[in-house]
Amino acid sequence: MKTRFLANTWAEFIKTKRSFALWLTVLAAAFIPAINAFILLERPEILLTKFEQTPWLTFCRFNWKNVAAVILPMYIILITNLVVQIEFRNNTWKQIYASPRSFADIFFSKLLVIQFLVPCYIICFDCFVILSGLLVHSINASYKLVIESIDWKNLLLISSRIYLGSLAISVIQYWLSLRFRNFVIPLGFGLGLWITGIILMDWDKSIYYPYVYSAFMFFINFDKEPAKLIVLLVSSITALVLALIASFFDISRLAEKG
Amino acid sequence: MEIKQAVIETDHLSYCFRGGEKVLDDINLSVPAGSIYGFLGPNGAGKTTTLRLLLGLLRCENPGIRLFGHQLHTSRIEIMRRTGSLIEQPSLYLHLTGQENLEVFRRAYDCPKSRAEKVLSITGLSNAAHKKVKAYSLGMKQRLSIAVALLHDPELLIMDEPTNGLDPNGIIEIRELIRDLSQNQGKTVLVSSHLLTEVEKLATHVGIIHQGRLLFQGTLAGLQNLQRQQSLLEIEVDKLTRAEQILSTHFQVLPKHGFAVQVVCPDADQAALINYMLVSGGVRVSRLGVAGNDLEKLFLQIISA
Ligand SMILES: Nc1ncnc2c1ncn2[C@@H]1O[C@H](COP(=O)(O)OP(=O)(O)O)[C@@H](O)[C@H]1O
Ligand SMILES: [Mg+2]
Repeated sequence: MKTRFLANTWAEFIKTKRSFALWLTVLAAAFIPAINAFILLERPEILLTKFEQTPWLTFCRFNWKNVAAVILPMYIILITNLVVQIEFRNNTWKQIYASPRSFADIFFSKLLVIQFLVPCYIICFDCFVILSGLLVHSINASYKLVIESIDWKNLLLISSRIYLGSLAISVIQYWLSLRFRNFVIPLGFGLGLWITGIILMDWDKSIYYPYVYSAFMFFINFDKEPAKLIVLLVSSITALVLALIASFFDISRLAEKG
Repeated sequence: MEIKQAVIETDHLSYCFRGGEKVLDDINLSVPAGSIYGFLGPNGAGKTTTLRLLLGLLRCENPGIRLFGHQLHTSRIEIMRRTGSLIEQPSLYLHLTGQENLEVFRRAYDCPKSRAEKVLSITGLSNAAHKKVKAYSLGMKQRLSIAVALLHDPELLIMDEPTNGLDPNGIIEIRELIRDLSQNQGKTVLVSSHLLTEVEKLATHVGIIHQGRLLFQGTLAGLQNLQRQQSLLEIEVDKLTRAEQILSTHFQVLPKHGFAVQVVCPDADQAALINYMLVSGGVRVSRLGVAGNDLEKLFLQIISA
């Protein structure tokens, strides 16, 4: 049973071959670090003072700021859509559901592909941040972004918190993508829910709104408000579990499979 | 005749799509082991819907579908291990090569790598194995779909209009392939088609479906027998509509074509009665004869009954 699941998950990876998934991952990861390297090099007079104390932590936050709130949710919406659309576009759901695989196998093997690509994206992004920092230092040495002083601990901490905050969104987007054959619907829903989240961010009940968790994971200063970290962790995991249960049962009960 | 166990059985199967009317009504399919069962019906009759139900692709509360003697909704995985399928248009990953497509499904079916090569050679695609499916012709896609269906060497093949859209050569190739699978490998094949000529050339058993109802089920020989018993009278008249009006009270009148009405007539002796009815109704009869009755007409008769 377990080996079958692994074999099928591997088959899911084969399907992403030659699709846009890998390119999307690399390009979306490179986007912000590339822009920021450019900004740092163009505006040293304004930025240098900010980078004096903790150059890597500052640079890291400088990059993650945009990604946590904007790029990561967008990437999740797009990649989930892309992976699921492979089946719709090729009319292959019927062949999948007519093969000797349990529904759980089908549902989770594809979700696992997405849950492989999202951390991949984050790791790629972190690598690009470091490369971008090193590049900036090599051109303008006043930035002190040297290999020896890379703040691995904070980079890892920020990355894993934001990833945790994004889990529920990726399951909800997976659900929407499976539910609707027309890719515009999950895309539109995703963008709508995400923008609503940005607007709702100041609202005191926004802790119930999964689309802002990854942004909160970045923007809240947990050194000042450690209690909020616990609340956010619990909310993220609760939302993930609820989304998993709801989507699993909803999709398993679809009237038409393929 | 030897009694063979049915590989597929449905028990008063009915189905309606959400919010729609009944698409299938009281279908009692029985596909004997080792047969080539031609599932025949015009477009929109419910063939695809039936086959999708057989594969568990449509949710149905209590479908009463049995394959290999097991209930579909309790032993789906067991059943699917023994069933290969091809439903409607090709179901293939266009951005992958033929070989990669087989590889994806091979993992689901858990069969050895050699099977992929085997089915490629059975379907004559060995040379195109490393081409992207996007670049395949429709006939090649259809053959690759059959290769996927054959991967795990299933006992039962369910194919929905496998020759749809192919040129005459492609049609013959696929027909030969199906015949070979049945005769030399003992597979049971359920194949749907909207063309009687196709079914007639291939099938051992026939089921005729129209507007969601199974109107005939039996051997091909049985269908041909039925054809001999019923005769069709062709009558040339001057007033077509009037003639139809008069005759439809006592007989089954077929949709007209040309200057003649066609009437289903259980025995030819009633020709005199028909002539009398028409003449006394003011219709001039210029010719009255038994029409050359072939299966095509019988098919039309059955579905317009
Ligand atoms: N997904 C669907 N939703 C609603 N109605 C459908 C759907 N698929 C088919 N139908 C209807 O069911 C009937 C039978 O269709 P189908 O089984 O595809 O016929 P066939 O394969 O014999 O041409 C048609 O009237 C069709 O309009
Ligand atoms: Mg059809």
